[in-house]
Amino acid sequence: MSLNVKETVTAFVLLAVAVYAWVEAGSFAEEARVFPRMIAGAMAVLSLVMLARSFFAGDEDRATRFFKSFPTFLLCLALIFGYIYSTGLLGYFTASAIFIPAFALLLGLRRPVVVVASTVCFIVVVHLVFVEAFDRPLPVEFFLRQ
Amino acid sequence: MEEVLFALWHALFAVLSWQNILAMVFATLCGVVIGALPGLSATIGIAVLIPLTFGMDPMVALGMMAGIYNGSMYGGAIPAVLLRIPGTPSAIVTTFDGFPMSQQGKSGAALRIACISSAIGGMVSAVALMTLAPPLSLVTLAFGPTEYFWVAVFGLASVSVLLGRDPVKGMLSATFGLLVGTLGTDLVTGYERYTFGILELTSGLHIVIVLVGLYAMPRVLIMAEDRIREGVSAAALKFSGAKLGYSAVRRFWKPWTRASIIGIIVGILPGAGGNIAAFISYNETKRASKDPDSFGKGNPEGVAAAECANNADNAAAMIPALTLGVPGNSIAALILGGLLVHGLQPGPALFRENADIVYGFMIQMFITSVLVFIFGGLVASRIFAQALRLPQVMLAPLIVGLMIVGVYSVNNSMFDLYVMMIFGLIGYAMEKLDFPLAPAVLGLILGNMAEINLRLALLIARGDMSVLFTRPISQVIIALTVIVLLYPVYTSWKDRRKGVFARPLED
Repeated sequence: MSLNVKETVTAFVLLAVAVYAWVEAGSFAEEARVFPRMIAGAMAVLSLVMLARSFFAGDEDRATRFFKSFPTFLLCLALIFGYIYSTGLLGYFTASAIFIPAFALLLGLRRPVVVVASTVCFIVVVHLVFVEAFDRPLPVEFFLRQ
Repeated sequence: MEEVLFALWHALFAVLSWQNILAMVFATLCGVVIGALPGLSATIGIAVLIPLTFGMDPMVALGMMAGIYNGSMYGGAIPAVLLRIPGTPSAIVTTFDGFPMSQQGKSGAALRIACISSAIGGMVSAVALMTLAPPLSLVTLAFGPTEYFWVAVFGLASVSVLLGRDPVKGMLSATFGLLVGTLGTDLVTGYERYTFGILELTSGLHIVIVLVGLYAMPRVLIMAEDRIREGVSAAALKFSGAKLGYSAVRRFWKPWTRASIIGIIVGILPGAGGNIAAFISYNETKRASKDPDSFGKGNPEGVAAAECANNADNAAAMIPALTLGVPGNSIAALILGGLLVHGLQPGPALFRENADIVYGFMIQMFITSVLVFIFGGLVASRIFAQALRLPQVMLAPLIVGLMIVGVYSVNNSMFDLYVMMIFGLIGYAMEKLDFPLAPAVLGLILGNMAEINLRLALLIARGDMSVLFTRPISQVIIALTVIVLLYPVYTSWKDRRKGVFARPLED
């Protein structure tokens, strides 16, 4: 994707958001719609400026890619989603014990000692600092639930 | 002045509790490590820290933010000197002379100069905060709803235009933040706005969830894409030439004075960050030097000027933040968010009703600068530098783990984690498309203030819009806003004449 195409697409997306926000605000109470419409209006104007600029900018850097590595981006996103989902399902520390090493290994780190040591240290420190010392609530482990 | 001294004295006792001291020490050490790791910065450290401070005493929380802030500004110098890789954007200028010094076998001396300079800049900046913020807060007593509305607009305009490379993108980022801020139940009419029928959205989005999503998650995604599986080798982290005599330190008093003043002025200006302060300070020190050609080839004054200025920016950036709610840089914007999380609203009321906390924070900015000096010595720097040996692909999941701890603890809600993920994707897109994040955060923080004051002003004036433009203080703020908005047009015209196209980077 060249930079100009990226700018044009971005401008259209933001314009669509602004239009949606404006239209949706029409269903709010009269007093409640003023400020959102002011913002939507400003966003629409700025999007049009960006759109106009993208057409007349001329030859800029066309070599810039949006994703450095799309498969890796998707993998990381899937891992983050999996980590979050399994935190609710299995509990925070169980999910961390699975996903932190999985993350590192799937991203190509082949140093098991570093992976295991970092994971264990992280879990111990989080437990001591946030659970024991600061009493922060975290999703309970599945084997401890009643 | 007497009142300020009394307030500081009173706050000192609260600051010197063992919990506060422990928090400041711990946070300063973490800050140095965070700053030393390229790819992380004080903004990410504070964004991840804020939710973790939930439920803590506000002073402990602010002390930790102060520690991370000051610590990371020094920490960025470690890889800048050793590897020519700035740990934080503010350390870019440190590479100019720090790395050549390292190549000449003087890495130890360079780091000691960086440490002392950072500490001095931070301490001077904290004193400036203590002396300038209280009188400025009294000026705001004359502000009414109209003035506060225009202050919000001015803050958004200056951060949007002065931070980042593109003013249009900056302003779009700000409007995005403002729009996100309207999500939830309208406080006046009780009407639900943009909730899509989702119950969890009726109370709006907590700023912490958006902060962590926008700042921390994109960094994780980028680290994963970079796939750096090796940390820095132990050999590359060897220190040498650590001797630094007293006469050598004495020679830096002029660069330190100059850098401190520049850092404080830049810090007070909304939108300008530590990297700008470092650049200006470096250039001025070079200009004033008897041997300007030695700069860029390992002149220790270059390191001193850069590091002192980027730390002198720190506390000064909190002056407009604490008094007007307009942050001096993006990190101050996050700390503002941290204040709001603990129920502390910037403005003159903060100095009256929470004097111990606000004056305590000023003292904490000073103390954490001293801690940088104490802990940033060569032994500590050798230890902190080891953090660079951890591969980024290992660091990424650890950051995700901390993000989950922080965001979950806001409402004990799994829903918030998914919202964080959505904002993470938005933040990733914004970074890739070169949209600055700070205006979005500021839009979220100032949006509520702008809307409430606008509606109040119009209510008092019974719908007469002219009230927004007729009060003298409002007119001054409007004029400043217009100047700020026209500034990029002026610089663009000037740059076209000179053929220069450099723009500042976001911290």
